[in-house]
Amino acid sequence: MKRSPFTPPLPHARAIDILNTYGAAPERWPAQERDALIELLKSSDELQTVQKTAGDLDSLLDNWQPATAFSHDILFRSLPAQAPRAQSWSDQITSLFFSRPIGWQQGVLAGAPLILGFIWGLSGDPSNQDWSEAEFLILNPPMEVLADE
Amino acid sequence: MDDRALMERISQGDHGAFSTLVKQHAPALDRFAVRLLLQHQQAEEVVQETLMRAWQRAGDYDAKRARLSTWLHQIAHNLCVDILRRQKRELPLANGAETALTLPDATEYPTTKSETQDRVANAIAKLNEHHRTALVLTYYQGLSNREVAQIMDLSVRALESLLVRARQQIKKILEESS
Repeated sequence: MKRSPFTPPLPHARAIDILNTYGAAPERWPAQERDALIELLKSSDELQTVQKTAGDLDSLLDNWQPATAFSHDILFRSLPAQAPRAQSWSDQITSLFFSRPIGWQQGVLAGAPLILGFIWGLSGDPSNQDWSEAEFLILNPPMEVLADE
Repeated sequence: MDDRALMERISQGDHGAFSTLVKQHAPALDRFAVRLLLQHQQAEEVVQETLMRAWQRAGDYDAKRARLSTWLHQIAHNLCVDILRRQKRELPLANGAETALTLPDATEYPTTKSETQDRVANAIAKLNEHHRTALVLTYYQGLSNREVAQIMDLSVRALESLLVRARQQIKKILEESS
């Protein structure tokens, strides 16, 4: 039998899984597997039995339709006091970085401080890293500082 | 009006657009919360809070990430989970025998008084939080498996595993109660 190129074959075990997972009704099955399962069901007595069993449970579950009594009034009364929140600057910065896949511009922006810090560290004068003067000043403060105290 | 346009208008303070959102989504959110919490009062509070957050955070909605229905269910789900976990902390487990949540009798909620309906409601009440949420979102709320997985922060495979076990447990409970 020639199969449509648009309907990938569905393994028998997966067909059983779908029926046991989502029930008997095709509209509840995963969309990408629905057509293949419908096709498979036509030729399999075993699958039809599994579908029948799943359908029995479905009809019990369908019995439970709790009544709803949502009151709109309280909600609408409380609206004017709470206006929609405009997106804050911090949200906008967060969304700039995280709302969609990071593009090269955002990558460069985020990495720039790291790169600059690295370059600055490499180009620093080694003599600036001599802490002996600072240490001396801490241990021996200038006279005017002592005089203030 | 599509989801993005609706939320854009709401973010500008348009009450008419918000009214449209409430009419379109409140009944489904209410059914979801009732089925998860099995308490009318708390369910209504969850819906109120969900819609209030939608009003306040309309500017945060991203139509590329999720349908509006999925986004609202996600907010409602988080609120329900908070309530269920609070109940779990407050109510002692019966002899430590069950890890399932101890919930009020499902018949407390005013359903039509059919015996089968009460049996199903009580069977679903005996499921643990994850099994019940997976079943309610997928079976009753009509969301796709990917949307439910997104709401529950699970893989589709993990969701399917929960669904199979939920259906098996309900079947067993219903058989035992008949």
